[in-house]
Amino acid sequence: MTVAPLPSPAPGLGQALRMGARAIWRLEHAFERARAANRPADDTRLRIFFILALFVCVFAALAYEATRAALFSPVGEDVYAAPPPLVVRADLTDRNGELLAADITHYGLYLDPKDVWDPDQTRAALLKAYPKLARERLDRALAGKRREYLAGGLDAAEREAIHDLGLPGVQFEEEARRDYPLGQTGAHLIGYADPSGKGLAGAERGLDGAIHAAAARSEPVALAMDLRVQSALDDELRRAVSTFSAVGGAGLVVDVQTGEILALSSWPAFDPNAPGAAPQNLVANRPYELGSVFKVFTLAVALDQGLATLDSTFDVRMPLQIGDARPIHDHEKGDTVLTLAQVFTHSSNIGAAKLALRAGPAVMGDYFHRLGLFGAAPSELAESARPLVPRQLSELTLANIAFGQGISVTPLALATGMTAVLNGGRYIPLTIRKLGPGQAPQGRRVISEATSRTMLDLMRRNVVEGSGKQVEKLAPGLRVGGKTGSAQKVENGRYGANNVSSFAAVFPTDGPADAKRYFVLITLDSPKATKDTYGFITAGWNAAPTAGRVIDRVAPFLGVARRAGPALDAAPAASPAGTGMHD
Amino acid sequence: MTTTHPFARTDQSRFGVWWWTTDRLLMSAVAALIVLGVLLSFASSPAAAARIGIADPFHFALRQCLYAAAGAAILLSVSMLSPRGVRRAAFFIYGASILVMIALPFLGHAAKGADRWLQIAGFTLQPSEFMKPALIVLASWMFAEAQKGQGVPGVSIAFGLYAVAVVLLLLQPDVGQTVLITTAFGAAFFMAGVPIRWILGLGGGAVSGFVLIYLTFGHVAARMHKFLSPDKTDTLQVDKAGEAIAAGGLFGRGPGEGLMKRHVPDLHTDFIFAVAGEEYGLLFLLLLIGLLGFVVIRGLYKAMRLNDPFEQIASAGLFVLVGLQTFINIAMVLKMIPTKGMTLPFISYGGSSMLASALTLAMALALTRRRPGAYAPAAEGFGPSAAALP
Repeated sequence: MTVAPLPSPAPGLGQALRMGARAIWRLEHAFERARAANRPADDTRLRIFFILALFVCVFAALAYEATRAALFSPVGEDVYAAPPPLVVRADLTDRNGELLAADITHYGLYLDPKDVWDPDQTRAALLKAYPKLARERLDRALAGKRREYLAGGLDAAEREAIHDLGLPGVQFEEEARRDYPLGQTGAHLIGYADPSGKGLAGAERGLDGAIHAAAARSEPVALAMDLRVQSALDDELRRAVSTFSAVGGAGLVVDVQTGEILALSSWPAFDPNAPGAAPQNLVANRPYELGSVFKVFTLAVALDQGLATLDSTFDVRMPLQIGDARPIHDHEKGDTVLTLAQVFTHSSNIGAAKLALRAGPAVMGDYFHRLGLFGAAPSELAESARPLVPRQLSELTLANIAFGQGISVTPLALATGMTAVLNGGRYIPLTIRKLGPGQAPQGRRVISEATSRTMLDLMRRNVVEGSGKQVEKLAPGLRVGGKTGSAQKVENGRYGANNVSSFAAVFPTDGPADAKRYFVLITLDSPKATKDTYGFITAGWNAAPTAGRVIDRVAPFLGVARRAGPALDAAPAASPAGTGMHD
Repeated sequence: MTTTHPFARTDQSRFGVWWWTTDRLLMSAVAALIVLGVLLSFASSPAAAARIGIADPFHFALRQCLYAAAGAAILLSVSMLSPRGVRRAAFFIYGASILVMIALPFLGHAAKGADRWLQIAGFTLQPSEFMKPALIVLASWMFAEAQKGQGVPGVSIAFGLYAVAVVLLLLQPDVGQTVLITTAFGAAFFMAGVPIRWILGLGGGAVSGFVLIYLTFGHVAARMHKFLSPDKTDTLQVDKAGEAIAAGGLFGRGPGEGLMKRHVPDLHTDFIFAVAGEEYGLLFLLLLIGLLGFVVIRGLYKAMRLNDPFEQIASAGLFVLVGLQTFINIAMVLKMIPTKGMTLPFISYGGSSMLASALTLAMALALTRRRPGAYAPAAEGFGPSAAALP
């Protein structure tokens, strides 16, 4: 097309409009001409067909893409995956991975009265399917306007029974609940947590932070406990308390070299699934006057200070009179002069008191302090209680604590001190957590390795020829050493007829200072005499045999082999004839 | 035995004529789409209502029923019009829409960052939705007039109508609708017989126009960036839509079992396709695509066989409008193109969308009705001869 020559320059609006109009006219005619020239009549049809074909392709593409998206695309996991189980607290296991406590998803039952169709039917059906439901609560919720919480802790079967009723307005929400599959076994060591996930007792309380942290990592928390040892200890302690009609009992098994608590028992026990008013943890929470087991400490101090040797002699003919206090007697009558070893095996109060007086209050106080006997046992267990100790160490109090009177410590504190005496002389806080290889603390030195060795021999000798004789029969070949302790129990402010009987045992006593060794403590509160004890209530007749049975049962689990042979490995067998049961 | 059909073939009443002349296959497909839209609104309504905080879970579903009824009424009444009546209706609707769009900034109801909605008695209407089919009909009329060469500057008028509409849309701003009407208008112009040289020129203009829009409007640029680099930006709706369809698989998760509708906003409107896929599965999606595709392709086929250029271009343009809107919506959900605010005709929740889709289809049905001489002879190979009708 030819472009019309532009009009002579006379710029203005009118001219611009005219120019625009002419341009449009040309455009319109171009369209018209193009339309008219050499076009078949159905040109528009052809073009519509072109677009139709295009849309066939478009819809085919949509169908293809939809198929790809629906069948060949990854499904987002986050929305469609089943929600992860509600875990607030990590699993607790024993040292071998046996499950002690776990969060299991339970369900809370809710009622929204707005959605309820038939209140009477809902009420009847709910009570039939779940009889534990509180009637008044249900009635209040049905009469109310807001969504109400009816009950918690429904397990999956209970939830299903209610859910299957198909009642409108009845709803469930997941809630984590702590489950203790073992029930009473190890209850005081494991402890328990409240429904909100807060640890209230035992390891659940002591390791609360670690348990929450481990839950975030989905890892279990392993206790030092060995479930096999724990159940044997639980069993024997329960039987002892029952046999001797005791008020209560405490038991401990500790790895002497690492300080790991392999078992901890307190009777009466409880079920952590329904703790209610759980009975006291007698191991960690109850200070007792533990009596002659303290002679282990007194002799260790004297030997470590070089104040006496095993052959030093002590005149025990006369009761020891300090000031105008009650004189200190020995239980064994007729002894005259005893060696230091016999002071231990005869359990001479006079001998122990004399040793303490020889050491003096400063040295004794220093050692007892470093053995942890003047403070609460350092432990993860929050129950660990402070001892009752003399306000000041006078001659009299010093002489008394030498044989375990006038000082009350928890069995846990006693065990911690004993461990230090028996492991080569290092004070290590006992732990309820499993320690990995190389994690065992070195501890701080309290007595020398040589003193520790001597004490092991003395304790072994006491079992062979002293107050622990019953043990040797019950746990043959396990080289058990031990010391009894029978303290008159303070009742209503004065010493009464009942006593607290303990046996502190260690096995095996042979081998080098760092050999595998286990400490076992049994304490019985107010045991009664039976036919078999010939009327005695002293530890040699109740706590010691109990410890012997425990040792006999757990030694195989702990890898301690029985060994036949001479009763005493190293200690000189200077045994006077006719020694009976000492205390 | 005598059949007592409700409308005898000889029924000369207005409705009787309508029944025998309207394409009943198209009509049935549209009716099916409306029913499916209502069905889906019952699935998505509770989640949408809960998220917004409306107490009645079926707030949206009941409204969709109302819209569906109104849409059916529009379909019925408008499809009875003659081609001349369609032109008149388009003229008034276009004029009214443009006036309302001009007035929108003053009396409009701003929602989600754009002045698009007009609030009337508790309902919101989007006038631009109604302007689209009216513009296509008027533009087709003008192209047809221009073809005749009787001195009507049709092309210029058509472009003028288009320019007014686009300027008003860009002022809102509504880029999605702009792209839609530009493409549909271009398709109408193409079908009217524009020379290929012109197409190249106009194509270049469209591309540069789009670049200009891209540079001018922030949210368009943002959407483009999202689409081009999905890792870097938040594409929650599209991602969740994809996951929903994938989760649905072949048969779906079951009615009411969809989860995405609870997590993602606007799934009951622009992303209804994803809700459908999650709950009813791929087979249902293919049914939707098939129904919409059938409407568009059969519509274009009918348009192709019409004789009158105006009827050809206008009806084809209207079906293109439906097809484009379908394509943009579904392709957006399937991540084939960037996200746009575009509803799925008849299926998405919303009064404007439903009524405008009904209007579009109604006008298209009116134009494709059988009338004496309307179709090329080949088209009358079966059925009653057109001459039998007065």
